[in-house]
Amino acid sequence: MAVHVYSVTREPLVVGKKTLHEITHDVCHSIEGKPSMLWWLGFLTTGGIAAIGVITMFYQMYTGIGTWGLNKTVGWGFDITNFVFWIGIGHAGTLISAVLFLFRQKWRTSINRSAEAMTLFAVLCALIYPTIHMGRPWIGPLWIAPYPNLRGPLWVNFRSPLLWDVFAISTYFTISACFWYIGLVPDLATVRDRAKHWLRKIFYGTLSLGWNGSVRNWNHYETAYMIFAGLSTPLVFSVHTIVSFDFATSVIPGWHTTIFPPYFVAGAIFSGFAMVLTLLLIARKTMRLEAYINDVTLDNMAKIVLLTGSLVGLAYGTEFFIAWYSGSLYEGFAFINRATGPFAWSYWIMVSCNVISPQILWFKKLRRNPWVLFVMSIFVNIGMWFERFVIIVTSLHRDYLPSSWAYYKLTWVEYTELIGTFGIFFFMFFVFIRFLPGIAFGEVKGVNKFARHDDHAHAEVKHA
Amino acid sequence: MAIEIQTGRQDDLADMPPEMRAELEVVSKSRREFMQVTGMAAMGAVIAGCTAREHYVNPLLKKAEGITPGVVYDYASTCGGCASACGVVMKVRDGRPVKLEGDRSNPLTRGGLCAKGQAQMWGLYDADRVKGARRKDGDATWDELDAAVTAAVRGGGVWLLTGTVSGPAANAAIAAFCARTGARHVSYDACSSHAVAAAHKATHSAEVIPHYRFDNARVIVSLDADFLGTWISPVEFAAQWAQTRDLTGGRRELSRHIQFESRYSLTGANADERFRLPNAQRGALLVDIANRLAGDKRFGEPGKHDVLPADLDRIVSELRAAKGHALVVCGSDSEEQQRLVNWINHHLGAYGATIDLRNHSRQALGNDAALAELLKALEAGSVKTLVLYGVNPAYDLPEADKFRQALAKVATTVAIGTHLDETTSECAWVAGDHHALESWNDFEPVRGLYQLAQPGIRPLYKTRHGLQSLLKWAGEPAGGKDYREYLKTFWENNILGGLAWTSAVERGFVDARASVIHNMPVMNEDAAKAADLGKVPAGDFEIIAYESINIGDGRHAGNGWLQENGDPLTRVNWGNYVALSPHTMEALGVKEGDLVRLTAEVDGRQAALTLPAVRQPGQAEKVAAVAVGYGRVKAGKIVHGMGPEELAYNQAEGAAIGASAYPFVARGGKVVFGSVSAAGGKERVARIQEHDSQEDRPLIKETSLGQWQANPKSGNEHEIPPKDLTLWRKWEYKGHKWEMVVDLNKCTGCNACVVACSIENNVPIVGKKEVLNRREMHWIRIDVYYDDNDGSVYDGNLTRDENPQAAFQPIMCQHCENAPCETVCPVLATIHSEEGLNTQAYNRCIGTRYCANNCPYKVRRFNWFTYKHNDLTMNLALNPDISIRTQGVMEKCSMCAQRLYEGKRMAALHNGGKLADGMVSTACQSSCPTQAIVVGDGNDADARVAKLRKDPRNYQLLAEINTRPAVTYLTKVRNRAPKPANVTKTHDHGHDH
Repeated sequence: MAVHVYSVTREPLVVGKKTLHEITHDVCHSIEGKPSMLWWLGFLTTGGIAAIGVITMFYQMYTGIGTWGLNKTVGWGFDITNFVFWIGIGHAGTLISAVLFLFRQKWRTSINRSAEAMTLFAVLCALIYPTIHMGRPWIGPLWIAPYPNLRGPLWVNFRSPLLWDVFAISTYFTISACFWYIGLVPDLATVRDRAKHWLRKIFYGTLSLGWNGSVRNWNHYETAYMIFAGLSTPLVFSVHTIVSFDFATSVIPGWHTTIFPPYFVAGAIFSGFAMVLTLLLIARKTMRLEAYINDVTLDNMAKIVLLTGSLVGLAYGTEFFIAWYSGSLYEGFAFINRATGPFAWSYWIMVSCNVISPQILWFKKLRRNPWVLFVMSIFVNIGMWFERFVIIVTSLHRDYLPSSWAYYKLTWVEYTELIGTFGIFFFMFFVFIRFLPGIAFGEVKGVNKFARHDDHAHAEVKHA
Repeated sequence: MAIEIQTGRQDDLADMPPEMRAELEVVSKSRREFMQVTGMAAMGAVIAGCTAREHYVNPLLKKAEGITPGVVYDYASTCGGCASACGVVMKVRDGRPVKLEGDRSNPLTRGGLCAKGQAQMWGLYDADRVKGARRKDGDATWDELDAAVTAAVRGGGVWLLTGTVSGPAANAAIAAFCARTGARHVSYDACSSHAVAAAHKATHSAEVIPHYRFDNARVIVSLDADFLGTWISPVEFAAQWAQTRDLTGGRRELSRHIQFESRYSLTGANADERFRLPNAQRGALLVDIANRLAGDKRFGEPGKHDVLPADLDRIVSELRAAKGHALVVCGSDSEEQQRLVNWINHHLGAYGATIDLRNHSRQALGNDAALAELLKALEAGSVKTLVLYGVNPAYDLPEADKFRQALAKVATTVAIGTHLDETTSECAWVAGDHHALESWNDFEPVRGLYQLAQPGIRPLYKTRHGLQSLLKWAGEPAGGKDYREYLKTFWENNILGGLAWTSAVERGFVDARASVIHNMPVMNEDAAKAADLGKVPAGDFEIIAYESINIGDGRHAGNGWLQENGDPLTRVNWGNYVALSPHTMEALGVKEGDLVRLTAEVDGRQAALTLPAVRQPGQAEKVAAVAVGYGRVKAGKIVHGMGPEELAYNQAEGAAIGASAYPFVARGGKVVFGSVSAAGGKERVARIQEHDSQEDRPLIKETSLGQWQANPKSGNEHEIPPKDLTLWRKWEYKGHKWEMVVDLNKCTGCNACVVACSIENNVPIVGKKEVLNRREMHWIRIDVYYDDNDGSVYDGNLTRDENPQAAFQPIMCQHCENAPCETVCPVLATIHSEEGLNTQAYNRCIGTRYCANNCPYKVRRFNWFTYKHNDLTMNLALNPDISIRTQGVMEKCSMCAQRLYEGKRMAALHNGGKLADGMVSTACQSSCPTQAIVVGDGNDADARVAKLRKDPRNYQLLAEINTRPAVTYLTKVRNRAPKPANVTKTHDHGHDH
C-alpha cells in the first residue's frame, strides 16, 4: 500500500464531498438511463454530418483526386493537413493516460478516459486521410503493407517516411486501444454489476472479461496498466516525430528542417490538450461533471497548453532564425513567403491562434474560467489546423522553380470531407459517452478527498 | 489497363473502310485486345516504297512482304501543316501514322519540325472530318457531285481559290484545270508575305520571296519579322539561326541578332538586343537606318521614333562592318517598307550572300492583288462558279463577312476540304479531300528543291484527292485514276530525269537547286524611295493582329494538342487575348483577365472584338496585340470543351475558343489605329506558367560572348561540386548511362518539343478548365523568365516591365541519380534503372503524390481523373508502345525509354550490339528545329552527350540539392552590345512624344 502524503493547502481533486456510491452513480447514470434529447440531437446531427462526409469521400475516390483543389505543384493540401491535425489531436489522450500516470499526476483521473477515447477516434479520423488521398485507394492500403507475395521482389520501400508512418501509427493505435481497454475493465465490471437488463449483463459481462475485483485481479491490472503506460510513453513522442519525417526528410524548403520532430511533438500535445479541453468543457456542462472536471483539472490543463503553446511559438521563431542564418536562398524565401506571400493570411491566423491566444493563460483567474478556456481551446484547435496547412501548402506552392508556382484553392469536396470527419469524430464520441463510462471512476475514487484518511474505504472503492 | 473509348458517335465510323471499322468496333475492352487487333490489321501494304501495292487491308495471314506488325516504319514525306513544306519522316506502325518527325536529311530543315506540323495528325484522326462527297444540307454521292460540278465548271466564269501550292505536279494539275475550264487561279495566304514579293518585283524585277540564309549572317536585324516563330519558314530559319548560335565543338563566334518590334515575339525573345518600337514608327526607323547607311538624306526626313540615335549609330556601324554578312528582314506588309529593306540589304551586300534570289522561296505564293480582283468580281457577281481548295476565306479573310455575303451571288460554290469549316459549310458542294497524311503530293519550298509527300495510311473515309477532283471535273483523263499516277507520270517526265521514282519516294526529295548564290540583279534604287515613308502616322491605340505560333493562321484551331500548347511568351493556352504592356494596362485601369474591347476602322470596315487582357512586359506602349487564328466557330468538337468528363463544360452553339482578330488585318501593311477600353467583366485566362521571374535564383545561367571567350566557365563559376556523401549504396552504371544535355543558347522556346512529347507519350489533353486548375499534363515544358536587363542587353534605360530580357529553359524529368522522388515512394513505384533512368511503374503506383511534392523540378504529373479521348478515331493516334495511364497514377518524362530500348534493339540487330552515338533520340530531341537537345550514352566517351557534359558551360540545375541529374544544361551566352559609355536615364519612352 502506497503511502499517500496529502497537502492541506492543495485543492481537492474531486469537489463536493462525494461518497463512493455517488461517484459510481454520477458516472454510470448517464449510460444507464434513457438518453437525453440533447444526446439524441448530438447523435443524429453528427451522424448525419458523418454520413454526408462519407458519401463525399466515396464520390471523390470514384471520380478522382481532381475533385479536390490540388494541382501539379501542390500535391498535398487539405488531405495531409487533416491527417496531421487529427494525429496531433490523438496525442493528448495517451499523454494524459501514460505520461501523467507515470509522473503520478492524479488530476488526470477525471479526464483520462475521455482523452484516450478521443485519441482513438482522432487516430481513426486521421487514418481516413492517407487512405482517401491515394490516387488508387482500392489497392493502396494493401500494397503499402509488407506482405509476402508472388510478384517476385515486389516489396515496400523502407526508405519512405510514408511507410514509417504506417508502422508508427498502427503501433500507436494498437497500444492506445489496448491501454484504453485495460483501463476500462474495472469500470465495465461495475457497470455489469449494476446492470438489470439481461442484454446489458451479457454485453458488459463479456467486455469486463470476468473481472471480480479480487486482489489478484487488481494486482494484474495495476501491473498491466503500468506496462502499457511504459509502452505508450515513447509512442507519444515517436508517432509525431515520424509524422514529421514526412516533411523533414524531403528536399522542399520549409519542410527540410531538423527542428521538426520536437516541434511536431510539442504541437501535437498542444493541439491534443486543446481538443481535450474543448470536449471536456462540453461534457462537464452537459453531463454535470463539474465535481470531477473541476477548477484544478482545468488549471493544470491550461498550464500544459501554455507550456506547449510557448514551445510551438519558440519553434516558429527558431525556424525563421535558422532560415536566415543558413544563408540558403530557397530556405529564406520559403519563410519570407510564409509570412508575406499569397498564403500569409493562413500564417497569421496560425500565429494569432497558437502563440498570442494562449498568453492569456498566464493569469490564474482566466485559467479557471471555463468560458475563456473554451474559446481559447477553439482558437488553438483552429491555429493548430492552420499550422499544418501552413507547413504543407505554403512550402509546396512556391518551391525551387518559380515557373511552377501555383495557388491552391479548395473545393466543396474538401470542405465537406473535413466537416464530415468532425462529424465522424463527434459521432463516435457520442456513442462512447452513451455506452461506456466516460470517467474512469475506479481511479477517481482513489483520488477522492473523502477517501484519503480511510484505508478501509479505499478498499471498498475497489469493490464498489 | 483499359483503353477507354467513349463518347464517340457510332456514325463517326459509318464511312470508314469496313476493315478499320471492324477494328475500332472490336477495340473496346483491354489493351491486350487492342494490340492484338491492331496488330492483325496490318495495313502497311498501302505504303509506297514496297513493290506490292495492295488496295485492301490484309489480315495477318496474308502478311504483306516487308511489313511486320508492331514495327515502326519510317517514310520520308513532306509536312502538310502549312505551306513551309518541311521535310518529315512519317512513323507508320500497323498501317497508321503514329508520329511525324523532322527529316534530318532534308536540306532545308535538317531535322526539326514545328508543333503544328507534328500535331497535324489530329486532323487525320479527328471525327469532325468530311467523310466523302457532300452537298450543303447533307451527304451526296460522288457521282451527283461530279455531275453537278462538271457542268458548272464548263459554264465559264470559274475561279479557283487556293492557298499556296508550290508543287510542280500540283501546279500542273491546277493549270490543266484552268486550261480546260478557263478558270482563273488565285492563291492567297491568310497571313500574307506578299509585300516581300511585290517589293522585289519593283527593286529586283522578280516577284518572288527570296530564300533567306540566316546561317550566312553575322549581323541579323529584324524589324517585326518573327522568323523563329511564324515568318515564312520558321523551322528552316531556326535551324539556320541556330548554326550561328552554336558554341560547341570549338566554335567561338555568335551572330549578332538585333530585333525591333512592337509586340514581344519569340524572335525578339531570342535576340541579343531588342528594341520595342510601335509599328507606326517602323517606316521612320527604316528611313533613318537607310539614310545613315547612305550617308545622306536621300530617303527623306525620318519621323520621330523611339530608338536612341546612339544605339542606331552603333547598330548601323555593326551592319556596315558586317557587309556581305549582314541581313535585314522585315515582317511588314507594306510594299514601300519592304522596298527600302531591299535597298538596305542591297547596300549591305546581302544579295548573293545572305539572301538568295535565285533559289527563291515558294513557301508563300499568295497574291494579294489577285485576291482583291477576285473579291471585286465576287462583289460584282461575275463569278459563276467558285472552287475553293483547302482554304477558309469565310473565316480568315479580313473581309470575311463581305466574302460570305458575296458567296450567295455565286451560282455554284464547290469546296475541296477535309473539315466542315466556316467556308466549306457555306458551299453548295463539298468534295471531301484526303488528309495530307493520306495523300500523294509534291512541294517545291525553294526553287529547285522538289519534295514528295506520300500517304501513311489508306484513306480512312470515302474521300478523294483534291487535285484528282479538279482533274476529273476538268475532264482530264487522269481524273479517273488515283492522283498518284498523275504525280508519278509528271515527275518521271519533268523532274526525275532518269532517277528512279522509288528512290525519289524513298528519299522524299530531289534537290536540283543551283549550288551557288551568285546572282546580283540590278537594284532599282528609285523604287526604294517613297514620299511619306519616314512619316509616323498618328492615332490612338495601335492594334496588331499577329500570327500565333501554335494556332497559326487558324487552320489548326480545332487541334487539341496545339490549343493545349502554351504560347512561348505569355504561356497562355486555350484562347487568344489582348496583350498589353504593363504601363498601358495601368493607364487603362485594367488588370489581367479583365475583358477589353478593341474597335477600329480598318480598310473602311468596322472591326471589333472583346477579349481578356494579358500583361506582356516588353510590348510597346499603347499597342494592343491579338493573335489571329482563334474565334473559329466551326473548328470541330473541341470548341465545346475538352477534358475529363466530370469537369466537362458545354459551350453554346456558335461558341468559339477566343475571338477572331482577322478583321483587324489591314491590307498593304497600314498601321491600324483604334480604341481600346475596359469592357467590364472578367474571363479567366488559362496559363501553364504564372510566375515569370527567376527571383534572382541561378536557374538559367548566362554570360556574354566576350566574357565567355575570355573564360569559358563564365556565368558558371559558382558551380557546386557534387557531394559524395550518401546514405545509400552508390549507383553503378555498367552498361549505358542515358544522359541529356540542353543547350540554352540554341533553345528558342518554340514549344515544338512539348507537342512531340505529348504525341509520343500519349499525354492527355486536359482542356481549359483543368489548365486553370494548374493540372496540365505535359511531360516537358519550356519555362520562360523575364528578368531585369542589366543595362547592357537591351535599351538600358528601360525597366523589367518595359523591356525585359527573356530566357527559356526546357524542363523535363531530370533523371536524378539521387532522386528525391525515389526515396519517398512507399511502394517502390518509382525506381532507378541500371541505365540511369528514373523509371515510373504505373501499375505499381498508388498515387500518394509524395514523389511530386518532393520533386524540386516539379516535373511529375498526376492523373487527377480518367482522361478520355473525345472521339473514337482519335485512339488511332495513340502510341502503342506506351500504356495509357489511369486515374490516380503519377506519370512523367521517361526520357522516351521506349525509344532508347528501340535504339538498343537496333544496335543489337544491325550494329553488332554497339550503340553508336545518334542511334537513340528522344521525341523532344528529334523535333527540335535548333537541335538544342542532345541525348546519348554518357558512358560512351565519344558520344556527343558525354563531350557536352565536359563543356565548361555545362551545369546541373539546382546542383546544391545534390540530386545529380542526368539532364544538364549549357549556359546561355548572349552576344551583348558593347556597353554605351554614358547612358542617359532621362529619355522619354512614352508613345506620345
